[in-house]
Amino acid sequence: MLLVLTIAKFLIVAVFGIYVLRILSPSLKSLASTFSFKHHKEMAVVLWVFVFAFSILVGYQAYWQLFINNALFQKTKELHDPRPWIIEATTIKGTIYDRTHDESKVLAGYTTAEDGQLPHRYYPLGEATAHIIGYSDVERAKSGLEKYYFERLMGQSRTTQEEEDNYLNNKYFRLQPRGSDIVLTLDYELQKTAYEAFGNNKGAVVAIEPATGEILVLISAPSFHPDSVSVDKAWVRIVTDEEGKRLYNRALWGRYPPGSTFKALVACAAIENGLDPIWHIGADGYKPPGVRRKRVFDHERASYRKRGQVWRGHGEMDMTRALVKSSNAYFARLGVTVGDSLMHETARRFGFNQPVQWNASRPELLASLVAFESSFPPTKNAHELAWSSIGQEKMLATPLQLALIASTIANDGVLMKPTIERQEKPAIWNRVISAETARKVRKMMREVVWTRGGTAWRMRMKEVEVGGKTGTAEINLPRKREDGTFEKRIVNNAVFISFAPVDNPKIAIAVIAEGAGYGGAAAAPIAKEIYLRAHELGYFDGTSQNSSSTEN
Amino acid sequence: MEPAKTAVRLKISPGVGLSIALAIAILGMVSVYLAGNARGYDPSLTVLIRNVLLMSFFFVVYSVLKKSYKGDFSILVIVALLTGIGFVVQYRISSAINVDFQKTLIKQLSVAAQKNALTDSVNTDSTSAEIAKSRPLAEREIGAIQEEAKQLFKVDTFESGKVFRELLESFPGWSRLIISHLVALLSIFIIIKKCTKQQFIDSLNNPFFWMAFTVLMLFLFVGLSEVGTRGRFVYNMTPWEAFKITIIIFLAGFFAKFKDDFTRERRKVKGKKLQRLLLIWGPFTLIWLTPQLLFVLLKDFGQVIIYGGLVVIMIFVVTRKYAYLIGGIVVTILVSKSIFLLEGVIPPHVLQRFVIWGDVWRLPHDSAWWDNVYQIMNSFFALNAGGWTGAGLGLGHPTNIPLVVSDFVYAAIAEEIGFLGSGLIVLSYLLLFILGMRVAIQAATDFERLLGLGFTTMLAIQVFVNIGGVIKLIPLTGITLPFISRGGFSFLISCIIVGFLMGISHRNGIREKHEY
Repeated sequence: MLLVLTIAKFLIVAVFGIYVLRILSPSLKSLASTFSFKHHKEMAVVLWVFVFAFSILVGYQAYWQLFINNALFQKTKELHDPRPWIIEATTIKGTIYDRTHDESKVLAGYTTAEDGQLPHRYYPLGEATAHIIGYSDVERAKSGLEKYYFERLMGQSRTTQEEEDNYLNNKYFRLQPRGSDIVLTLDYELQKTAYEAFGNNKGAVVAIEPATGEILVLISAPSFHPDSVSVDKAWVRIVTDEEGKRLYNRALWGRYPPGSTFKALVACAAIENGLDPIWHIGADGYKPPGVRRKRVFDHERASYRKRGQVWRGHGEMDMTRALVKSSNAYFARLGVTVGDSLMHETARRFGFNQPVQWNASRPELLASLVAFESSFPPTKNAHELAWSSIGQEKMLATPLQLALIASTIANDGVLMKPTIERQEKPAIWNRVISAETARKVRKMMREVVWTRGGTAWRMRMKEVEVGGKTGTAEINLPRKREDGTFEKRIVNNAVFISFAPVDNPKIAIAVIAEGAGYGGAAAAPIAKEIYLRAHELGYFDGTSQNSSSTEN
Repeated sequence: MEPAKTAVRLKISPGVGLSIALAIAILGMVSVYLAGNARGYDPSLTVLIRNVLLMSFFFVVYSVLKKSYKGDFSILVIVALLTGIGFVVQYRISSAINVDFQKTLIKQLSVAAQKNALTDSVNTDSTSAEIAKSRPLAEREIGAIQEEAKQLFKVDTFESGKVFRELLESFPGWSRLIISHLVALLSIFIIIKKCTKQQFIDSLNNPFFWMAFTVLMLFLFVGLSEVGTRGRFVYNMTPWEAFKITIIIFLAGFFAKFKDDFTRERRKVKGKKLQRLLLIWGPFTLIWLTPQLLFVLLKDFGQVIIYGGLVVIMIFVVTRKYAYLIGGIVVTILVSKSIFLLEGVIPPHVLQRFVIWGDVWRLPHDSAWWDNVYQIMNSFFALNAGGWTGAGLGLGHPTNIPLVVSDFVYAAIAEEIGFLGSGLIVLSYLLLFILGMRVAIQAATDFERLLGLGFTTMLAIQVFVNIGGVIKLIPLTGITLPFISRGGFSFLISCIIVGFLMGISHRNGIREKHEY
């Protein structure tokens, strides 16, 4: 049909053109006398003026219709041209599937048309996938994959053969165009579980399949419902939520002090360089050499004092026990012993101080997944290095980066490029540490969960053997009083990185809960729920349809 | 001035030409019909057949005139062609209007519905479920769409137009276009017949009568129209457009009579400058300015341009002094560029057109002029969407442009058949003007020549002002595109003009036959 109409259009233009020229050409001679200045000069001049004026007209039209390259015009067009929206409304956009490519587990699709109801774009997971899938709305424009994969979802991109076929079909045979589908690596069930487990917390969860780098869960909370974007009232509520910052994708853009979870990285750096010391950690903590600053104390000192007891120190400690107890003094000393350059080198290989290298062959995907760099700024002296080693000071990491650390340790020291599209082949980003080191650190992190009195003791469960490291990052977050002055306030961000099972990890998870308290108490339970759900889905016993083919 | 002896006819049979024009119109309308059906709205088959029948009346005019008519039929062929294109475009726009309305309004309406749903529901946080339910179009929303459509076509009505309106409404809706079309074609026929009689021409050659008649009638309309309505008291018509014809008749007569007084030679002989100034230039200035002032009073900026341009070109042809032509063009450009100095003097809606003309991309969309900015912007989006060969008939989205049926019809053409198609339309207009000028050049007397020149020039300026306004070459004015825009009245006047041109051509034919 469309082909017929296209032919008809060309036919009309052609017949019209030939026709006008047919009238014109045999009589050109006779018409030429009209243009000659011989008899009625002034009339010919008037005619020439007409011809000139209409030439300008056509030239001007040609400029605006064919050759316009004005930034202001393009901007205005993007803002106000209703055509794209009409075309979008009349196109069946591509469906976004989760990793199972199952019709029942769609991340963005259409409702079925019912009586008196038109089908419309529908996001079954709603708030759980709002940041990554995004929205498309006449008044609020677009975001997320709905924005960056727009051409592909609309069937306008022509990069692969399949898309090219679809494009040509749309162009010549379909009056209602269809878009191409996208299969993501996200897991519908895990995503849903993770968002529900998050409850009213603020923060982010990232879960990665260590062997492939495929992202299973990417959640930022609090979130917004994509359907409520088009509702003025709801939108105002979303935008004016200063505390929640609902539109902000914390998983990729949030930068948090990693707290004690960074000790896992310090442990990696030390063991990789042949350090596994047994030190006496007393009650007086650790004083970095050469600087007169405050000492690094263990966290027990404060909690004992609060209870009216006296903290007597850990005594002799090896690295496993130090990790289990999350000893600040031990790891501060270890970091200083390893040294600034080695620490930075290790951190850099883990992905700090550089842009995240996504495993994405399409530039538009990269644009949608812009993640902030995690930073470990150069330290000026041993004091800063000591504090950096326990994840405080100026160090900042995104939830994605924390998940990458856990995933690297889980994947025998090989850092895979994170990927979100199922079709991508796994790609190695960096070989960070040796498999031997990774295995040792995994064993230590197992003890954190499985030793009585370990910081993540409550994470233990009979279904699956989890290894992890908790973290509690202290942040000075002044609160504004009503009179405009600021009140000093220290909040604790709960951080938890983990993987399971310890022997052959299938999932690595990083959780950050802003201001929620201790990592073991606030962040770990969220990860636990995800592991339990993953166990139900069969991630750990190899029965899952969800896990990658490379795993089996 | 010797009349040009160029008795060459265009070598295309008018019958074949009209057939091809009809074929193009049918092809266009059928593809609009197919596209409309495929897109899911119902283009009316009755309207298609009606339009084909109306087109075929050109054959009737041709066959009646065939034996007696000695002039140039090519004019009629081109008019038929343009009218056919007009039918296609109007058919396209009228068939799709409700659907595109739906699409652009769907959003706002569903948002409104959601707002209602939200305020009704107690728990405002559980948005998703309610939104999903309230989003689709309900019956009351369709009713709201129809209301919006009525709002768009709302016309300024005025009490004194009530009689005319009731008269028009006494005809059923479907018959109005047929009647006005037939009357227009009949008027071509009548005027050609009338032009064969010398008496009729003589009665036209009476400048002072036509002057008085025109001015009086214009005064009448100024009196009738209310301030701010721009006088459009009968639907969207501007009834004084009819007096463009009498103005041309009067100007032609005036210049034919006093031609010598405007030329240098006679002035030298008489030598009394003051007398010349008072006797000729005085009345001339008065005649020129009076209708101009009346158009200003009627706030019809487009007519001011047309009338001004007409006088400039006529006076140039009569005096053969390039100073008038160049001066006229230069003054027009200077005035349009320095129009902001006259702020406060000229009405704001005219100033607004100039501001939009100069700076359409920078105006903020909360400005009071947004409607007009939006209109010209959308015209550009339509042009841009068209490209070289266009989106295809029935496949574009030109109905987003407000008033696309009348003033912005060219943008719709440019979107659907592209730059090539719309360029061909400009070319056929140009062909029409060349043929009109040919008629004028071949005319026997000065009066007939100036009459032909006047009519051709007026059509040319009208086309230029319309298309130029749509593509923002010049400020926008509310002038229709002859033969293509919707509007029976505009079509009638264009047909009368064509009748005159053909009548003069007929007279030339008769004379040549006698001479050779």
